[in-house]
Amino acid sequence: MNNRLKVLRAERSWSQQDLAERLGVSRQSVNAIETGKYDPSLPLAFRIADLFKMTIEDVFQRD
Amino acid sequence: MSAKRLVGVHPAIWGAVFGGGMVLTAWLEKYHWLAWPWNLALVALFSASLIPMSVAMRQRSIHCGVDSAAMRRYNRRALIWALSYIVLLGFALTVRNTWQPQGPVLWLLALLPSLPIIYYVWAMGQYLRDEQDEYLRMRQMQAGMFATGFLLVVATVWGFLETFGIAPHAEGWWAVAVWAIGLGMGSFVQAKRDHGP
Repeated sequence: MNNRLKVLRAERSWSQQDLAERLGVSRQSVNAIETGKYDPSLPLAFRIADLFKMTIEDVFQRD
Repeated sequence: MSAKRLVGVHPAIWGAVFGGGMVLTAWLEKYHWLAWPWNLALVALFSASLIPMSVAMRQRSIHCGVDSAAMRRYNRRALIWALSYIVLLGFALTVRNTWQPQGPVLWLLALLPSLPIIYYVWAMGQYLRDEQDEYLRMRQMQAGMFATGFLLVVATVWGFLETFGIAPHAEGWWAVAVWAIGLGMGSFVQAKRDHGP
């Protein structure tokens, strides 16, 4: 699964740590999702989409 | 990863000091160069390395961005387990060697060192329940699966070597030590994967 997390984060000048704190997860979790090493669960994907005020499909795309 | 360079001794070095110390003590005992209570003193000395290991693990977790409240609790419980295991094992051996009790007291003494290990097993389960970060929980579960596979392989291979009279008898309580080594190896692989390309 692809995602636009890095771009969305950069647009807001957030570091991985900033995003991790906003989501209540570890920085390594953000890094793993961004680099495609880990696909988040549906509840976490919703939390990410809500944080950016987007739909899940706007953040995550199929390969 | 953080731009700041992590200073201090790597937790694996402290782990190697502990593990190496235990192997050295067992080896000295096997060839009768070390007897009670000096073997216990040596075990206590090498066990002291678990404290700086715990501190170094915490620093590394923060540095690598894998720190969580549940992980801090788990590390604290693991340290309590390790130290109480040494204390209770030392107590049980001291009482047995000094007074040679029999019957129910001997049973209680024999069971005493297993209490911290039961506590450790509980602490691992509790960590998986407490951890709110799904990625960290998944990492720990994968490391646990690796450790279980490692234990099964080691126990099977050793068991057959023992059956055919090649390897000496290994006590059942080695299972937790082998599993913990496997957990460390699994966690190491996870960390390498996190920092890989």
